[in-house]
Amino acid sequence: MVRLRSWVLHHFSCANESLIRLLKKPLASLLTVAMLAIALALPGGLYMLTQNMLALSGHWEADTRISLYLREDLDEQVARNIVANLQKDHRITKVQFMNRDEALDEFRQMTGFDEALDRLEHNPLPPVILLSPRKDLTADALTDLLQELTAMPQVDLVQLDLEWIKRLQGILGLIQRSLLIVAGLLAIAVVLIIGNTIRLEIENRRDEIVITQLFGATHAFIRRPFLYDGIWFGLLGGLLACTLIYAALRVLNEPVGRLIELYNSSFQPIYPGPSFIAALTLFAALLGYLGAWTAVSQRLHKIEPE
Amino acid sequence: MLQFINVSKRYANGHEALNNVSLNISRGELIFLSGHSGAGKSTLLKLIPILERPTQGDIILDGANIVRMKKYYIPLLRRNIGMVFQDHHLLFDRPVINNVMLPLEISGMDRKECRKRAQAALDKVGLLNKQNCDPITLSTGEQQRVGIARAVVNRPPILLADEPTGNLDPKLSQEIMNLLSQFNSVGVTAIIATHDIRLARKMHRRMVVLHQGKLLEADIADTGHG
Repeated sequence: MVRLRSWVLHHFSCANESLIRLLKKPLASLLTVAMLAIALALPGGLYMLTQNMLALSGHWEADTRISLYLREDLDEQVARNIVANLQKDHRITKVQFMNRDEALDEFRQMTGFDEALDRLEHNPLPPVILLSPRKDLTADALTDLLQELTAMPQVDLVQLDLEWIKRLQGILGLIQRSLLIVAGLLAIAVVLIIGNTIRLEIENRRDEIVITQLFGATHAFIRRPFLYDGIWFGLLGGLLACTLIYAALRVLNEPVGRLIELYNSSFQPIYPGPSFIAALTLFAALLGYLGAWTAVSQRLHKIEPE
Repeated sequence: MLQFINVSKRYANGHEALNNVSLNISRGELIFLSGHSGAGKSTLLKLIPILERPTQGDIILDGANIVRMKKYYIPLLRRNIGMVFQDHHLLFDRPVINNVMLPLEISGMDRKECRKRAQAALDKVGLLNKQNCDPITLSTGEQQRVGIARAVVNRPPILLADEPTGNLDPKLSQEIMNLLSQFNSVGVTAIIATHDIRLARKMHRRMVVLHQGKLLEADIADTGHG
């Protein structure tokens, strides 16, 4: 019991002394922590960015719209009948009909190709029915609906405004995969940075190591303070990285908000939450431990008292 | 308690530091190891806490042959051996008291208890009033006494001193020797390597002389031992 207690106490005092040691060299420590924070903020920030984009694409997925381009020569009355039928369909929440003139007007407004359109001899646009499917429709049900609509003889073309979201999600998938690679590489960088810092520290404290060995210190005893150095560096680097990510998102918030407004969408950005901060910081601490461990293990057997 | 049996040590560069040395040291003895520098005194001392391993022969400590001791056990062995060095090996980044506490902390003792025992050890070498000083502010003789306090603080059964008076004037040297023999008189087995044969003779203890790695006859004339 006494041994366990003194072991725990030694851990506490090691952690404590290690932190004091870091704070006694504020500039050197800050440089290391800043390097770590940048290395951690890159993948962490990229992750937050993809989380935001995923949330954003999910947001837009909710207002999926189907455009039904009818045959150009279709009688307007027939079109109105189709609209009436569609309105009865329980899978559809909103139906809006646009005849050829209205379609042309909208096109004119959106593009501003006034003169060019005036020169055309006839209106090239078909009548359009805009449908909003129910939001809780499954992907299969949506596909069925699309097939039914495509099969209608009066319909020329069915377009689901989902394509670009699929592309966006494809791109996001790619980003997420690259994120893994970036995170992996930068995790290695963190281990190396901390390892290098600890190696310097070991050289600085060579005398102390030799003397403690002379008086019977085990490798575990000698390793311990350095491991805590690594853990502290990781923790502080992780916390600073979270701050950097938060700051970056804050800076991006305004232009992104304006951009989103253009798409008539409201969106609340996701900031690093407690679980993200805890995960990043603990992960960084783990990397710090690893870096310190490799550095000490590699150095220690080269330091022997003479 | 400590027995060297036909011990030889040849370094990688071919230098033969010890040649077929046999020596018996009894419990509670104080023995001087003398000879010119390079005669093998330091090498002989280093074999005991396994800072070096012999190329031949056996070393029996308390009935156990330590020559082939596993690396894992070396720290535990060293905790039973106090060491005093010529250049005292103090850490200048911490006060005197923390230097003395070090061996106790290594053995996992409670901090408070460490401090108490370190103060007792400093008291014995007459430096309790300097406990909070930086070692660099002490004189060479005082630094050596701190080194001795550190070596005896965990009450090891064996005390090794390698040229403990090497940097000191005769008066201080005498003081250090007296201090070491004081610890010996409370039961610590002490092995002191010194090239200062005159000083060693004055102590009236057993003295063995090493010459080019070989152990010469003990200097019987001045043996006050036994």
